[in-house]
Amino acid sequence: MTEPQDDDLGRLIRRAPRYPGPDLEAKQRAFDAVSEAWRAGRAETRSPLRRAWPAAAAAAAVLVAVAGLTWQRSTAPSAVAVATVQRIEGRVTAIKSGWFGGSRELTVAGAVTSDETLQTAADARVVLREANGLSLRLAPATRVALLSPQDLRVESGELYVDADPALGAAPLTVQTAFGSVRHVGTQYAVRSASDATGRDASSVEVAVREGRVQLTRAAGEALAIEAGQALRLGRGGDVVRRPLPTDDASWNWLQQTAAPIEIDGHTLAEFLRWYSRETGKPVTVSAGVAAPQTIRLSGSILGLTPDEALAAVAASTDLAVRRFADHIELQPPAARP
Amino acid sequence: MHASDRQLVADLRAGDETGFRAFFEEYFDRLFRFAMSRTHGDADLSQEAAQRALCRAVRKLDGYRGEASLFTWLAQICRNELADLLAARQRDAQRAPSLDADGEVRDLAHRVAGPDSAEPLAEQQARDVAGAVRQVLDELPGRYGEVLEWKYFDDSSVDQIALRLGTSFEAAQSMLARARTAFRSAMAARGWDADTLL
Repeated sequence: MTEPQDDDLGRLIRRAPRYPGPDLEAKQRAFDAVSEAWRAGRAETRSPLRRAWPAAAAAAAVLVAVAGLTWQRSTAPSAVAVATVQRIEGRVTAIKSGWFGGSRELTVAGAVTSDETLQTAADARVVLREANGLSLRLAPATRVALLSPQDLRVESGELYVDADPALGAAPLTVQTAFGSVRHVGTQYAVRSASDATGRDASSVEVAVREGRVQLTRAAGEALAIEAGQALRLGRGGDVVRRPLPTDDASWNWLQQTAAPIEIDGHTLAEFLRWYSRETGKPVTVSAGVAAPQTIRLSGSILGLTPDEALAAVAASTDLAVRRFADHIELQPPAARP
Repeated sequence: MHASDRQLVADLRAGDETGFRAFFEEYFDRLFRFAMSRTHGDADLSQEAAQRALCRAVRKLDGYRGEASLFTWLAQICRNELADLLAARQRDAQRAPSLDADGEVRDLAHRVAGPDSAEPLAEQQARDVAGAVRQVLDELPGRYGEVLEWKYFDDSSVDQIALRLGTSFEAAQSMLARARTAFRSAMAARGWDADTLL
């Protein structure tokens, strides 16, 4: 049904200039800034001094509240260090939020802070380590906002988290478009796929290589994901689980972004533990090989992939590497195939 | 009257992340366009004003009481931010005489493009009408402005509008009719009779 003057009204409306939407990068910067302001506003609203304290409140408690408020106000507006850059392949940009934010290119050994969003180029990767031991890897074409050392947001692409239980398994919440992910000492990846416009997430996948994680949907429902599983959550709320072996090809990019370690003066046991975490493959030592914790290594494996490093270490310790379907075994030289 | 706006603000105050995203997605682009029509299409200035307006709004949510629509409230904040930005720009440029000194800067932010005295009257009026239509589209409540743009700029059918809104054909048709009525009323409130302009 058409109104009698519909066409005329259309002609009038079409006289108006039509402006394009905001630039996507500018919009992202605005989102970061508004998000930060919103959180800061909430923190102020929740601060203890804005509540009506009972008259009988203990003086000590009031002192604690004042101290808490002072800390909150002195730290909320300023960014905190989140992690150190351990390794970079290609161009990785840190975009600072706020009205006067800018961007910079990351460099190895530099710090990244809680007011920055990291963007890897289409052929770039970066390895970060938090002070609490968490290792974070960003795949190519990935965008991750750093909110605090315990709180990240994957906006697009893939983030891999290695929370080594031996290091205390520091808490971390990874926010996504459809919910947040928490872990308990594990290795997992959060992948956010975009829709055809490239502006909105169409699905989020959480893949677990070790341990167990929990994905809490925006509506509050919690979904557990075990090691060897991947769970995909679509925009329409659909949930698809699939098995994902720890040596699946989708993990291969991690070989190129292994967290670097120094082996000089360290034991073979320490190296093998690093290798297993990086590759998801357990390594055993056959009879006739000295206990790995008694073998001291020298030299450097920096710049090598884990498999290249294993070959180098095996050669220097005169051991043979035997690969099985589910594990790798180090054998005495006589057993070399 | 503005129950959904009040609910959205309640969600924001409760710390609801989904609500925050919905709020940003709903209003950032609208405020950007609102500012664009007042800055002759200056994208940098408009982006800054929209961002500053939303930052100020989310810090002062208590200031929204639901008496007007949320967009009306945000647009007022955006006007003030635009005025401040323009005043700062004037100060930076150190032009004399200062427009800020006699209060014209604030007016500048609140009106559409200023008429060029050398411009023929008919062209001036055409510009005024175009500016008024733009502002009305930006300030219509809810998604009326978007619906009218889809219909008349994109030539979308009612079916396509229903798809974009995620509603039925009948609901989209009804919204389109209400949007036309709202458009005419808003033009009339600005002193323009839509029917005589047709």
